[in-house]
Amino acid sequence: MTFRKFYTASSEEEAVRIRSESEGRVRFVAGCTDLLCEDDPGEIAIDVRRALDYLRRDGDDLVIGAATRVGAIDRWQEGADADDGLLRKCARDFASHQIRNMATVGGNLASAVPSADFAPPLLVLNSRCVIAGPSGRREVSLHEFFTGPHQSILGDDLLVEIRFKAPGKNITTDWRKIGRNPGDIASINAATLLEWDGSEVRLARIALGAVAPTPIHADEAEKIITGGTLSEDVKNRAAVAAQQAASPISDQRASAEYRAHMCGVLTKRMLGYCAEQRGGQ
Amino acid sequence: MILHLKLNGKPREFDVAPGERLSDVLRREQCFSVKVGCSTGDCGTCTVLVGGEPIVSCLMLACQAEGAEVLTVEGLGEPGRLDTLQESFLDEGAVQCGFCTPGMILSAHALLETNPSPTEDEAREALSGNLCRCTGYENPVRAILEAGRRMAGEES
Ligand SMILES: Cc1cc2nc3c(=O)[nH]c(=O)nc-3n(C[C@H](O)[C@H](O)[C@H](O)COP(=O)(O)OP(=O)(O)OC[C@H]3O[C@@H](n4cnc5c(N)ncnc54)[C@H](O)[C@@H]3O)c2cc1C
Ligand code: FES
Ligand code: FES
Repeated sequence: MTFRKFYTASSEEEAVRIRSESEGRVRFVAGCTDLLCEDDPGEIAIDVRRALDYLRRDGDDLVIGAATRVGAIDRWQEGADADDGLLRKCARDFASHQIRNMATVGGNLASAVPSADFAPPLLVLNSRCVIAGPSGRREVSLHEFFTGPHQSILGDDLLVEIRFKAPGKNITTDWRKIGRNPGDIASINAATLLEWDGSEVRLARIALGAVAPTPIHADEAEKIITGGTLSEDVKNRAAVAAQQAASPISDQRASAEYRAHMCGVLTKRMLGYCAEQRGGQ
Repeated sequence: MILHLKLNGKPREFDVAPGERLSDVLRREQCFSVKVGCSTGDCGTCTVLVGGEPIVSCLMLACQAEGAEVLTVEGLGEPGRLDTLQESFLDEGAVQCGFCTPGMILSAHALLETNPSPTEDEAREALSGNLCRCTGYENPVRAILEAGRRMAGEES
């Protein structure tokens, strides 16, 4: 392996332009924590960190530049205030402190592995991806971003930023990750966001990772929860629905049976936690 | 490509290939404290500080460090004039084969720079990305806490 050319792009436009003008196997590179573990990463590297490393607010939206490092998400107070600490919790369970100083949120999504830790939290925040190519920018819901293991709709395009509308105050969120140890690649990861209206759940989102070819939503479970209180019966039915949403494989990290089973268990735990945070239903 | 670094406090220029990893360039330039245990980001033996933050140099392209300040253990102390952390690692018996030691010392150095009197939990957390196959973690954790105390003493 070895790159024969290395560029640092100072803007989104420059990154896209260098890519479209380069011949050979071109890769955008950020923290390199996935890329340099590949046997043959490519011929031409375009570093996007200088151009895409930012966190900001834009009207109602919170915006995460694709090259924002995981460690910066941990320190992002405005984000934590808006999402009830969801992304921060995810960042703290991510790899080691060295990797958190390198790995980026955009690289995590662009690699499109089913276990990508940032996928479930960003899914329940209803995020959109801003993508740039030679013909300009487009915005795609994160729900449509992943198409299979290591596959996304990105193609040769650049992931510029991730945006989500800051949720209102009446939310509770939770994050869960199961691995051999907290910093390990997840055997299963999961996120929940509930929006409340008094003691009733007005809106529910549950996303699960590493239990299907792409990160998924537990649609049926979300329907069961929406529009009522979180009784024991509702939590149990939602857990069963989440388990049925999974279509996992067995690998060295966990068996398919364990993964499916834990989708139910984690869903119930997340709902229990969210209800508790809300003040016992 | 010419890479400009401030390596261990001194401005330096290196001729590097676009695909070379920072760990390989540093070792070529005689920074043998940088150990390469795995090349996949898992073990932490290649830890160096870039802009004061610990990173694993096996997963950084050398070109990505352009213009940065890089610190390796060679920049801390030298025989006969060890840095406080190096001393405390010796005094606490925190070194057996020593392969993990430079990475641990740099992770600990970054911790003490921002948090001069860490708790035991914080010291453990700071070492969580540095694997040791012989000494374990008890003695290195004690060494970090001891170094913190000694540094506080030196200052007062
Ligand atoms: C020791 C170790 C522990 C890890 N632990 C975890 C963990 O706990 N959880 C987890 O989810 N992952 C983990 N990972 C995987 C990895 O760190 C993450 O997926 C990381 O977020 C990747 O980001 P990066 O910036 O390093 O990406 P890179 O390696 O630079 O790039 C990854 C891929 O994305 C593409 N890419 C990067 N940026 C863009 C962009 N802006 N637009 C288009 N394409 C782009 C690259 O071309 C490449 O295909 C771990 C990896 C290691 C080595
Ligand atoms: S050699 Fe870099 S982490 Fe192991
Ligand atoms: S002292 Fe040998 S690996 Fe830590």
